[in-house]
Amino acid sequence: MKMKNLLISYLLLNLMWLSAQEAETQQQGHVNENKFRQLYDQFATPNKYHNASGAPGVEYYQQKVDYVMDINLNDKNPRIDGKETITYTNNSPDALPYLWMQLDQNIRKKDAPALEKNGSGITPLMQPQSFVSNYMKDPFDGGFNIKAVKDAEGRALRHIINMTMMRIDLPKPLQPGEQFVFQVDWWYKVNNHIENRARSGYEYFPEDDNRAYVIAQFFPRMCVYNDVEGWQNYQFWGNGEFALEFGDYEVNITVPSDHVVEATGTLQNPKEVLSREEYKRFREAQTSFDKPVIIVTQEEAEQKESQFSEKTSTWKFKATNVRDFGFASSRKFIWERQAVQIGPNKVMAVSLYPKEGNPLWEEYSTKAVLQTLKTYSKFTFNYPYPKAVSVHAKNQGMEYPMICWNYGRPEKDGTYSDRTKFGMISVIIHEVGHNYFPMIVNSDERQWGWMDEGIDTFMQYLTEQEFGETYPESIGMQDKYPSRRGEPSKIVSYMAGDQDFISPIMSNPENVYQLGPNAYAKPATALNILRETVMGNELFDYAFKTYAKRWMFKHPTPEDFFRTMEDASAVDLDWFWRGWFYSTDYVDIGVGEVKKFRITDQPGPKVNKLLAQYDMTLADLPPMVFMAQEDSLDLDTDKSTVSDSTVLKEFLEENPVNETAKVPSYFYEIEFEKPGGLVMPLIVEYSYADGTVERVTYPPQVWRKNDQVVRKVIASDKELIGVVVDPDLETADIDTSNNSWPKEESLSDFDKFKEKIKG
Amino acid sequence: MLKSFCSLLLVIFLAGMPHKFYVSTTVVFYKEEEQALQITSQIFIDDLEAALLEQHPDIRLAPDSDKNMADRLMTQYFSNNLKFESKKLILPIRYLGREYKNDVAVHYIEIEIKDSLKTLQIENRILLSLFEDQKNIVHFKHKQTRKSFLLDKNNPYIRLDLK
Repeated sequence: MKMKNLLISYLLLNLMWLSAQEAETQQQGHVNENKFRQLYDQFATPNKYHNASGAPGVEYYQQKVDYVMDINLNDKNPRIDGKETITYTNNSPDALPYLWMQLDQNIRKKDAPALEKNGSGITPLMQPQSFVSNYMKDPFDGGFNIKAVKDAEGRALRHIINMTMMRIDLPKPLQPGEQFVFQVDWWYKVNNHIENRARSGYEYFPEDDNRAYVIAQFFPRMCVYNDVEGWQNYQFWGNGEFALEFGDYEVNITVPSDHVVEATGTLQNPKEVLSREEYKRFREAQTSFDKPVIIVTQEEAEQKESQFSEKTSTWKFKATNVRDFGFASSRKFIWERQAVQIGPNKVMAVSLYPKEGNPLWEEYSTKAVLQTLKTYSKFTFNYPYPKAVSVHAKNQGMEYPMICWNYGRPEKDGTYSDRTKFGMISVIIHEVGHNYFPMIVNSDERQWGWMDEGIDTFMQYLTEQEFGETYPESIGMQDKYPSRRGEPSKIVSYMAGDQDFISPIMSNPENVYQLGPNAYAKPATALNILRETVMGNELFDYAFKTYAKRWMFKHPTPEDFFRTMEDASAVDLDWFWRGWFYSTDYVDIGVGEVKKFRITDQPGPKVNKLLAQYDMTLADLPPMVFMAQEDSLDLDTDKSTVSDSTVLKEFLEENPVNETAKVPSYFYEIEFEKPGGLVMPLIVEYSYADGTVERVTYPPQVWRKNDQVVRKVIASDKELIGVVVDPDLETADIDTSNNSWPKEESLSDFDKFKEKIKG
Repeated sequence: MLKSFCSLLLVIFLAGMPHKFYVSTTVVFYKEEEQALQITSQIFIDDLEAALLEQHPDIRLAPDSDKNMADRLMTQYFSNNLKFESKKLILPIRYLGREYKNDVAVHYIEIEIKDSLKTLQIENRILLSLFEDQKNIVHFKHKQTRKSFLLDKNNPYIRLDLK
């Protein structure tokens, strides 16, 4: 008997490999290429600084950099002069012989290498303006002029500038735990940010001869020194943004007296710089939780447009534990502030805009700020800063701690389209949201664009949807907020594109072909799919929050994010990160053949062939139930019944299962194919002749032993009439023409449109 | 004003904004059995509007300030900037219309193909004169063939041999 069982196992095994056996050639070995292998080949080894669970390790450290700065803005001849005193605290275990500072403004030097970073040759056509600026005009003469670098006693420090980086050589190495205090004096010409689409500069308004300044990257800033990069002094080439240390700032900004200034940090001297009436409203706003208080009205701002104060005022700001500093200044600004309670923290939601932004800005800016603080705080941590400011700047969308610049300008007559409105609300949500990623969860933007842009765009999607629910009047007749990124279907055209021009998400922002989809849309969609389809909201949200809380005010790496998401959820995601983040693979899963089977007493051709091969007959086998493909049998009905198999019938009589158990009438083997490289859960909708529909999600692990084809069995009392893969389009499947059985000849969008216009 | 903002010296200061990468996507489907090229072209509405404004300073899209005018301008724009050529002849296009989906305009264009196509040349200059950094993606489909191209100002052409 035992022998017989062995034989049967062997037979069954053979049946499985029947086709494989037929071709016998010598095979080559290979390394582990399984899509589910762990990411040891890609991940940095965990250590005392970044541990294996994705949290800061026991010896995690980061440097502290405090700045005291006096800044002067010259509005007549746009130029900024600054003196900054830096206190650098070396918390690392290493002695530092030199320090590195970032001189981002140097990208606007006449001879900046960044101007020559592209090699795409001559342009066969261009507008005359482009021709003039390319070949006839001197480039803008920007960049830092460093007047002095000196220590606390006023002694000059040796320094050298390499493009956008400045090395300061220390008199003696700075030992672990020591502080070094030094001063840098500098000035630069402020650029027009509209002309060259910069992140910082002024917009000129010819109608009233005024400028609105949105100023950032305006002072030499300390580079990050850490256990991952040493000095992060990768040059600023324009795309990769910033890597910065946390510290405390005291900044005194001197501007014409008729300017209104908002900045990173809390205003220390409102009484000095505001009029009596403005100061009263400023105070009122601190406790106005239900609506904004307008501190400078449109009428007041317009009155100032025709003047130009020769006097100056100095606005004093203090900020604790921020990684950067930005400010906005103009006499054109309308200014509103509203208080909002975020957990235990009272936060001021602030909007600053010239009249050109109205009526859109007074309607939506502060609302968008409020929603962002509420939604992001729910998914991460309570917003820890005292304020969040949204400043209107044409064409811009750029973020700094507590303050950001946003586009969205109505027509001159005050009308605006839905597109302008939603574009503006979305950009405000996005840029205010950057307070969380990367201003607080402070990833290295220069190296990894997706860690702030992708995660922020994902959170932006969730916030936009909640905005639509909070302010239903804003979305009018639409059933939800029209988010442009986040939904799986929206990334399909990118992922289906020419592989020569797609880079993995895990690429430096300088070296990708399409930064928008690469650093924003694809990672955001991947996270949305992870939340909705792979992990589920509950597991995802807890793990995501854990990541945010662990790395609040610290410097996480990609591995810290990947590891935390797994560590806090017990969902193995190495296959997901490998596919979505480390490769350019795409999703394409479809349904192939569907075969129908019957139970019978008679072996089918396959079994007969095997028996013959081993010189056996049916009598050599113990009682067996056979499954035969329907079209291989002569049948008078299409259903299986227990009487089709006497073996089964007898077995059931001797071993009754339970009263409700019965033999299924129909057996199907459904083949699923996966032409795409990405692994995904296999989401299937089965439809039956009686009108019922059943949704089954097979885990992604179904693909672990065969990455191309898997077969599943449906045993049912109902006749199967339809199979649809990914019925709700939640996996970003790039080709849905193979998603249905029987194959559906559905009208293409093109044909649908043609039908529609025919009327 | 608009022109000066469009004549971007460089787009290297692209910025950390969720918007502003310049790309259009066009799918060209050669449906031999229907003797037609079916063309679907997706372009950001604000970029497109900027292009049309050069022809007509008052035009606004989505919603259209003047639908007939917008249709005319679009037909003209595609005739000038998305050209299909076979046997040295420019194939006349029929602009069917467009749908707006969020901030993208989806255009439908048809070209009648009487004899079967042996070769096809496509010239895609959509927005190239407006944005230095514009990229135009073209997907071509014919029977089982699927080809993708990334075009820009230095290389706006595709040549296809169809067997």
